[in-house]
Amino acid sequence: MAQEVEETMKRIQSHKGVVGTIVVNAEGIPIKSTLDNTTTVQYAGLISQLSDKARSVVRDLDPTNDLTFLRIRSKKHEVMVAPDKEFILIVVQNPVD
Amino acid sequence: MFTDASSEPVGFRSQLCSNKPEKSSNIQTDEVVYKENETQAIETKDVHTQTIIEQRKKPQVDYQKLAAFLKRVTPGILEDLDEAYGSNAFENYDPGASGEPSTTVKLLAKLNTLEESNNEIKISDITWSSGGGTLSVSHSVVYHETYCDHLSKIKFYDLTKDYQLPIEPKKVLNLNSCVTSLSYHPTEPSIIAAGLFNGDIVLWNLRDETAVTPTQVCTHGDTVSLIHWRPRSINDVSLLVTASRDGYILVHKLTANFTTITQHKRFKIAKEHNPSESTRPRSAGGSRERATEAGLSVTTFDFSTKDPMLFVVGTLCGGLYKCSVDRATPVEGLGNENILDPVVDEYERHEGSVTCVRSSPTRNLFVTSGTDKEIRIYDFAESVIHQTISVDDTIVGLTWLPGIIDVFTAYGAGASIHFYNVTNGKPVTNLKLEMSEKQGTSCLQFNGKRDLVAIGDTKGNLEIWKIPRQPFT
Repeated sequence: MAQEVEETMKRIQSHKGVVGTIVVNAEGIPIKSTLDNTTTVQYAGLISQLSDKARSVVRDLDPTNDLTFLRIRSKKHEVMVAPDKEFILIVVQNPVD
Repeated sequence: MFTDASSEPVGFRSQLCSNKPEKSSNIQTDEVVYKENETQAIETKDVHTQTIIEQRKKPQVDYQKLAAFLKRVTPGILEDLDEAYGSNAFENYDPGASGEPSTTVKLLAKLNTLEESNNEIKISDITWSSGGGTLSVSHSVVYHETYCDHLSKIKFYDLTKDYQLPIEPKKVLNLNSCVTSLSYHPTEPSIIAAGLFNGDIVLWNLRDETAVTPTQVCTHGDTVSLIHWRPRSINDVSLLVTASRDGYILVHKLTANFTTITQHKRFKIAKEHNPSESTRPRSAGGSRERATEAGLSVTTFDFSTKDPMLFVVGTLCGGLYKCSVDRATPVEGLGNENILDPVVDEYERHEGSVTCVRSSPTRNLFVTSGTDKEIRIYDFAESVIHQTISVDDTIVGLTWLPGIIDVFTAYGAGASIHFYNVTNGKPVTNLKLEMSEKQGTSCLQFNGKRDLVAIGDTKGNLEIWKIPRQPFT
């Protein structure tokens, strides 16, 4: 199974413009990353907080609704966040390579 | 071997020499120089810490679940990556975040609000609507000899997109007395209240475009000095606090969509607090008769931001009174139980009239200005002055800068607006603002929503300036 995980990560990482891929567990601790240690820890901590906040916003607006995907467009990057009960997948992309 | 022998005693007379030779001489010692040296022994302490290098635990991962999760989200992610990569949705999109924020003030618009040039009419107050898009300007005659029978106007200007002022106001309200204080409701955009020179407090609901007749809130016995909206707190009711030169501070409750007005509380700053204040100076204006039954002439007040029950009242004779809403005692001798005396303490007095009191939005401090050309900083808890700033011109008003902590502005006679830091009382030098018409400033109002400041002067000129959001970085 670990093999399958590695392969999927590689597939995403090799996609156009992708700078880094991080998988974070429910506690906000990074478990898989293609970025360096400092950046990974920073992204993991901040993005998991933001995704928690975004989820509570969606749920507060409509309790039957839930957050499925979060995209953050910045001047330099596009950050895509796929949140789940146990994991969060973060992909950082440089859209204009 | 030894024999006795006796000798003849021989006497001699002692002789005193009465003439001892004496010689005086001088000596000169060098000046002795003392030097003191201080030594200070520094106490140091050493503390040892021992860090234990722990092996970082690898988080436990359920690869089964992770693989399932990745399998589920990967197609969506890849699709979005493709879309984001090929998308040109954000091309040429510049939200203006790239430019450095400006650090200087800039004059955006200038307008004379009077129809014909009149040296005797000043802008008495300005107020921004709650959204910051509309500016309302009231007028008043500069000096009132006795009573006021002037016709005055409140004009409403809609700010254009590029922060310009239209020449013609959007709306004009006519009044039969000069306006002394004007205030938009802090949250309700259509509600505006005005205090008049003849003592009336009036209120408009601008939602109805055709409505020009205001709702009468109350009539004070003398000129209204200040009106102030209290933020909604008690039972979600809007409170309008009005103060007048007759010494009364009234709290009105506005209910049923601002159509029902009830008097909530009546405060009176009684004369007994300071007998010297019972005389009304000539400069106060207004009729003598009205002044006789009144209390101290209230010129300004402000509520504490830390304690909503606490407020400070400034009077015409320089008194500064610490007042409390809930500790007020009924005023004796008036035969009315409902009139309360809110004074609990007095602060050090100004030498001249108090023109403005403003409490700090962040600290337990308040600043006051007076006609004695002093700006003072007080702590709410201490009756003595915390700090005094002497100024060249008489200051008529003080305002806190929105968004910038501890900085307040002072304006008055003289065209330049002064900025001070409340923590040390020093002027802030890297922000300069001066009205282009070089007239005395009569009112100034910040628009925190759009980083603007509107300034009115004693000749009816209105100016709008852009202020930097962070001018001190």
